[in-house]
Amino acid sequence: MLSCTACRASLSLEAPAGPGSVRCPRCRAALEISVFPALYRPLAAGRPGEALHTDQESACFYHPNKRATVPCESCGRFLCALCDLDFNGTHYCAPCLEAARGRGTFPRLENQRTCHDRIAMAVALYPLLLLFYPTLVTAPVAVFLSARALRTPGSLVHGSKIRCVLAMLIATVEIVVWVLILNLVVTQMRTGK
Amino acid sequence: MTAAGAVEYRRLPGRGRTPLGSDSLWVGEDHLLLVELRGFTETYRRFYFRDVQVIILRRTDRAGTAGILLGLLGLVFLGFATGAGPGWNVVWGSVSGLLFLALVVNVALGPSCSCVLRTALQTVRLRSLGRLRRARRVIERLRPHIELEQGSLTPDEMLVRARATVEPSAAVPTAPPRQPIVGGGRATRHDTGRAHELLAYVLLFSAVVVVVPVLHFHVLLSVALSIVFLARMACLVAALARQHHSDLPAPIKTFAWTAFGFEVVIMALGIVTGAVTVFKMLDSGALTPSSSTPPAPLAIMELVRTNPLYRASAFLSSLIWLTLGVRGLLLHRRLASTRGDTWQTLPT
Repeated sequence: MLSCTACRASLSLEAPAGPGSVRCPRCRAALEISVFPALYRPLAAGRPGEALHTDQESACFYHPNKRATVPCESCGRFLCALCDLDFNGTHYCAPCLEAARGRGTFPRLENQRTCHDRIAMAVALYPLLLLFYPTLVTAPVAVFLSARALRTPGSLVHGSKIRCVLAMLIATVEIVVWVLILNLVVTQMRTGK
Repeated sequence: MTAAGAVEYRRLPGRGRTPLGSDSLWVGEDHLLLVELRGFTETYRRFYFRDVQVIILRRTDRAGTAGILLGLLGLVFLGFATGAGPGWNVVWGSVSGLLFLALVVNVALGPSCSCVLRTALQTVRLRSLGRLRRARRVIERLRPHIELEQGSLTPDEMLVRARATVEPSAAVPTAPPRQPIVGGGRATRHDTGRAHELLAYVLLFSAVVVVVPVLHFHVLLSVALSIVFLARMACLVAALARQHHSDLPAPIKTFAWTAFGFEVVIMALGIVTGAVTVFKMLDSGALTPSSSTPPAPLAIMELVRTNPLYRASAFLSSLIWLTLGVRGLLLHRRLASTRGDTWQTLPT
């Protein structure tokens, strides 16, 4: 069933077949609906695990009374149809897939990443917006974070390390400025004596 | 375990800004990736091309409202700039210039829209596709990818399949009923829109009343203005309360929210005007902090009335209330004429 995105009123499935935009019968909102064949495709039913009939048949590692249909490509355990997880044509058991997800083996299973390069950039830049003094502490921290961000995987979509390099450059400049300031202060103190 | 290689992504145009981050869309080999950046964390949502059922675009009034607000604020700051002394006129002029620049960009980006993508299991709003032209371009870029996975349908085939889905035979398995979009659950209440109609009339009346004291001042007019203000507030609250979880069309709801937003802006401007007037009175000596006798209210009103800022904002308010009132009445009339329509429902 289709519904209006403004008022959630039900729309006929036949409506998008016509030319132009569809007008919601309730709120009169003009909707441009792009329909694809998956809309009319029924959901695939899950496969039930088959029971063991004879002693010669292999049993599932996780369900001893179900017939094994495929081994896990990672650990080799026999899996029934219920336990078999088909991932791009390769069969895994749930623990192996979960472990691979934890290790980051499959980028396609990743659903969150911390952007360490953004953290490094923020630590290098934000103190400058407040006052310069905090950079005495934050600049070395920013250098450390940038170095760490260079080694850790960044965003999934843009692999550039330019933000890390920029953060490191800014933090280095901050450190250099502090060294010059301290040098000036020490020189003046000495000449004052 | 063999490691699956990293997927190459290509960026799609558009970036949806939120208070805490931004959203962007990327195309992979076999899926669309929605990247939601919140703070320092990126969250990924994948929509495989073989699973995409529908993409719905709906034109919204957001760009229009933003344009009106930017234009009005630009005019207000331009008024500040012309009325201010040397130094401050540059500041207000710059602010006004920036607002007009934003207005030009807003107009150049075109009308706004809301884009929703649906699969069998989820319905997600694509915030990065907030402009109609860009959204259409992106959908046209996605269409070949989706059709490569799913094939394409002619309008006739769509009709046949739609009828087969609506009237299932014993041989055709049907999907379970799907959930409504997001935040569903609470039933909508029927509303006739009377509160909105009343609000529109009060806005029209306000448009007339607000300019009268500028032309001719009288104490009674000032009292009338206060009464109209209270009536407007009451109508606004009633309209906003009535439209909550009601079946009123989105444009009518937007009308009430626009009136509310404008009322907030007017109140803020009133405070600024009052503060400027007090400072001017202090400067001119009409008001002395050490004086034991307060100045006469009429003298204060006279000073406020002759303030060019007040005069400009009064005429601007009148214009906006007139526009809003007329729009509200037109929307209500359209609602009344369309309420006679039969609702388009699917046979069960």
